[in-house]
Amino acid sequence: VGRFGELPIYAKIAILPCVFAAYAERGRIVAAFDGVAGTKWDVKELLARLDGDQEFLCELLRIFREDSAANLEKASACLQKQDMQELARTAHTMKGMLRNLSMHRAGEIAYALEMAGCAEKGKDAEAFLAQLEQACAELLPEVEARLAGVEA
Amino acid sequence: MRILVAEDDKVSRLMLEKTLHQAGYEVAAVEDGESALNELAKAEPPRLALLDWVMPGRDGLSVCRAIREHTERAYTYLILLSSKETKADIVEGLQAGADDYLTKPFDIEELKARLRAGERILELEDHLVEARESMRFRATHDLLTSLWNRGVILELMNREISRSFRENSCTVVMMCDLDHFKQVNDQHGHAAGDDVLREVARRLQQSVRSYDMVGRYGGEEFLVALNRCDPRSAVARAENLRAVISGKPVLARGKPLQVTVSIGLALSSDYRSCDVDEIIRKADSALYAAKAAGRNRVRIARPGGEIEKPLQEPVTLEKC
Repeated sequence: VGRFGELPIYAKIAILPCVFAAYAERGRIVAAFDGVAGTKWDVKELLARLDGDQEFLCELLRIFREDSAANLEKASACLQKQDMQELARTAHTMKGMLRNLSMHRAGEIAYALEMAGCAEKGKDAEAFLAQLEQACAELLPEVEARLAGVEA
Repeated sequence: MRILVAEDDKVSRLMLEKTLHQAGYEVAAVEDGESALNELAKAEPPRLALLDWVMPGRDGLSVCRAIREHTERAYTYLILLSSKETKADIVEGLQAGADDYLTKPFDIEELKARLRAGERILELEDHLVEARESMRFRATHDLLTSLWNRGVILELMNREISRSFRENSCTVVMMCDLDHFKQVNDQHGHAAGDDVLREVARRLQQSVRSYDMVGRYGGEEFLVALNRCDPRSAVARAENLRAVISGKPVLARGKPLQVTVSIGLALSSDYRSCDVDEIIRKADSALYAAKAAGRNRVRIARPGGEIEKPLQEPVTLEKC
């Protein structure tokens, strides 16, 4: 789509419907992503729920570190196999974990992924999975820093 | 109180465990529906369960349905946990057998309040079950001796004798009557008489096998059925019961009293064409013969109206 201007005129006319379709699809996904809002990670809220128990927080964060990676991998494998039911179940599990850890934005993306899995919308699921991977990747440095801080 | 947590997500499970521990619950945690069912099928299962709706394998709904199929078990209060929150979801969850429903992520105070509500329901259920069991006991047992009452012992005996006919085995019917019991009441008072009846009942019950039956037939009469008994050992078993009663004085109101019993026997294998009432009448006539022969002894009713006595009789006869 980026190099559309360099193409000869006949080629432009030929691929125009595809370009429109691509933009429309992207717009639909972006619109869906825009609905996925919220705080990235509300540590204060989480600690309040844990009665300020830093040790327990570390235990949960270590689980997050392991389980989020494993679940993302599992979700990716489900998507490749087009096993949308299992994908939805995996996303549901992730959603529970993320929401409980007050990782609100990632939790909402996991919810969107679960919905896409339930509706068997492969393309949406692909996009949400990418978003979820990114959201988790963004959370990891903060998680590591928190773990290092408490452990120190 | 023990509570079961079934949740596949480790973080949610640990958080629930910690919250529940802090609230004073003992927690059994599992990660899927099948394990939840196994936990709830154990001998003393948790009475409260928090079940995640979506779990690998059996989901929470399926666990609810399976639990509700077992109506013979003690009631388990089931709370479904899920992020599903449409009315249709709630209705589906409750129809599957859940008692309550919590939407995730849940508020801890709300969770505790709902668990307390569950405990109240369980306490109420326990009281009802206790009352029902007490009524059942009173309807089937003699309240003084805690033995089967007359109606139940006759019914059970009827069943056992019918079975002995079908299986070509033998049920030994023993009619036992305390000797001179009236004198105990007259000389020592009715409270002492009650002590004697209770102690004799206890000795009879302890001297038979778990699948034999002892009941109070009336006043100072007891009915004993020895099921699947070898006819050749019937007299020895009766002699044993007689010796158990007379062998050691009974403490009545703190005073030792010598008590003896006369026993009349009838064997179902001798009376294949008779019904229970007739067999009991045969045992009764053998009992009268034992009384007439001096009490504290055993007599056996035989076909043709003959009354047989054991080869060995007690040497000294005690009167109470």
